[in-house]
Amino acid sequence: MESIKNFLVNQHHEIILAIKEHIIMSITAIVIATFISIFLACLLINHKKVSQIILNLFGVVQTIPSLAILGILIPIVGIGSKPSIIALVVYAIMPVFQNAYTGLNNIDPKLLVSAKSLGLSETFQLFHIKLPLAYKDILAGIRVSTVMTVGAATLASFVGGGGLGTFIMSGIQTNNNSEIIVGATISALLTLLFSFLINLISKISHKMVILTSISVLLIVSSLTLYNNFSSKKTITIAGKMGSEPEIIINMYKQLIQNSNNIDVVLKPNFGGTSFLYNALRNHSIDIYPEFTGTVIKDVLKTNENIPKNPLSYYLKSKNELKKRYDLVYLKPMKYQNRYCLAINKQDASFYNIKTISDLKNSSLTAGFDPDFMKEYTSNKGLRKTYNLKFRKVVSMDAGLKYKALNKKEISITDAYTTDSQLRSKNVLVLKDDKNFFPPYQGAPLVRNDFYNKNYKIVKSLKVLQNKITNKDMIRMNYLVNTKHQKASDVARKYLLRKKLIRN
Amino acid sequence: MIGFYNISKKYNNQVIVHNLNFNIKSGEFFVLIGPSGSGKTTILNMINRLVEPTNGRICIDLKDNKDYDLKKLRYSIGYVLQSYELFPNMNIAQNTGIKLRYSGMGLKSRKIKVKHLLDEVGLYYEKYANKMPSQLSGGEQQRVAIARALSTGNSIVLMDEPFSALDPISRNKMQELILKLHKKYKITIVFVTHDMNEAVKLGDRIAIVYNGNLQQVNTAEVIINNPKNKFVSSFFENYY
Repeated sequence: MESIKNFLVNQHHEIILAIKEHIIMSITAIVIATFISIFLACLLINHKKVSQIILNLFGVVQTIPSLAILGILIPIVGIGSKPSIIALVVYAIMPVFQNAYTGLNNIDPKLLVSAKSLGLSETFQLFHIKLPLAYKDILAGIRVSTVMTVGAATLASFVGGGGLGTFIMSGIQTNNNSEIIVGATISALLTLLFSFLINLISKISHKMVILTSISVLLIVSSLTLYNNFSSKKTITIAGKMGSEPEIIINMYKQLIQNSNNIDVVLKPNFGGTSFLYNALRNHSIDIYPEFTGTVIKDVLKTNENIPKNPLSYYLKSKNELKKRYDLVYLKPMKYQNRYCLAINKQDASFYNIKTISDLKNSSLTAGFDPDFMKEYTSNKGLRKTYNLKFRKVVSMDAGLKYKALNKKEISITDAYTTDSQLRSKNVLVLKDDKNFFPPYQGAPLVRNDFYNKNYKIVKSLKVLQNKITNKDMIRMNYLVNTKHQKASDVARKYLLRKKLIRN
Repeated sequence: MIGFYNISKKYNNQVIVHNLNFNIKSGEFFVLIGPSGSGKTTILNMINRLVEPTNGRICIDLKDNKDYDLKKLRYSIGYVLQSYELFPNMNIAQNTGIKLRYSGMGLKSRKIKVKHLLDEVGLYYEKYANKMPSQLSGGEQQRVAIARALSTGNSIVLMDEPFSALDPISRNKMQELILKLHKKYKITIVFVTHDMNEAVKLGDRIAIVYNGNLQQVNTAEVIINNPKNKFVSSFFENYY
């Protein structure tokens, strides 16, 4: 309870912003879906077969996982709220269409004869007789869609669309339950609120409803337009999942704004490597921090044998990125966030283990993250390199391994060199004496065109070169993950302390 | 004048109406009578083209009804059904004035006209205008339907068993009402019924339809005194 309260107090600005984003996104999607559905239903009113086909089509679409739809949309419309709204619209159409169609077709045929006999035009009949008669059904469909949409809008955070899903996702990433609870609860409350409002609406006349919805539409669109027009020049910086990228991009933002009059939009917890990398290339974002090791392994996918020292990795990354993709890779920060092996300190002193080579004769139990398992077992993997033999190797979730290590259920685990848990007195990092793990240093990645046009911005980013030690980063991760401090505050304190920005 | 020339209607190879030839005079109260399934509603609906004939043609004022613009044709002909013809989403004033609204008449003049129309069918505007159809009795609803049928100053009104769902007392009142309106506005009324008493009471002339064939067309007096065939005489046996 205490941590939920802290979260609410510390992050209330972010929460209000997320609620606003969530509502605008949901309403936009519902309104668009309603118009499309009603239009389709009116168009197909006398075409039973075609409408059956369309209904089945939307039924099929409904079964496609939303993440897949988002994935398909990203290359077409980019990231942010656009793909989210499109995906939400696609899902919201079916209930409204189905209900509108049923409503329009369930009108008493005698009434239709009566309408026909009056010599009224089809359009007049539609707007003054048929749609008002189908109104209750249409509203029921809208309600179903609304409940669905407000819930599903949490998925927008996967593609940088913001909304309440941001908390759920970052909560999962950082193992912060209060964040998840807050995000999920508010989204559930919003669903209830919307459903209640529609119930209320159904009790007043349809003319009032049309008036209300038009005014809501105007408010929403003016809000969005206002947000778009009021901004000065804006640049967008995104970061991967987790606290560390969030802290780093907050530093970028503060450094840039310290010496430029410019709006910086941050998209923390934005997704994985290929996602961010594509977003950068199609101009959805302008900057994101990337690791040299990741560039070599996941972006360039090179088979060359590059010497495992930070400088070689950086130079190779920088040159290839420029040559192949016209991207500029600025110089990295000091700290390294690579894999390492961590050991329970008692075991370490008992068996006198200081390096990975020392593990050879220990017969301890190891617990590895499923991703790391590959690194461990593969052909040129850790096991072969060091000729390791553990008593037992278990695969366990990243969130559990430190707990298991503290309880001595395992003695060895894989870790990242900036994990905040490495602060613990019970944990020791083993020296990679055969230099197995490749270097991972972070640096800003930008497009060449951006680099050329924004000299001052790039210059302010260069301040971080060769700054931030592993110890600094571990501490900052700890403050965000465990103490639940805001990433922006943690970033600011560091920059002030190092006199990188003026107060 | 409405003229039927060699009109036939087949539906799925089944003959519904067979080779009809007759005239309805302007200003006439013309009743189509016959047992159910005899084709009388089909005949009625062919006048405003809710049903299209398979063969033959129908002329209204000497012009083929296919040469009229369909919407204008229907707009200019009043039509009253047995029931369920008022729109439940509109109040009585809106139901009465729907054709006027469609034609673009302004709110103020529409109100005056609707008030007059409701007055003509014996409904007090202030009391009824804002009521919904479901709040009215069957007879009152039919009054509204008649007011709507008269709203555009039509010279022709088609009525398909308009009073058959009413109780005898209301039916009687409605028959008096329609006779009065017919006389006052000199409209041509084509009236379908299966009730011989009603036919005799209302019709200037009566057409007896059986199995899609026209048996006899004449005044009630002539038909009763000189039934053309056995069916006609047996049909009138119940009349007294």
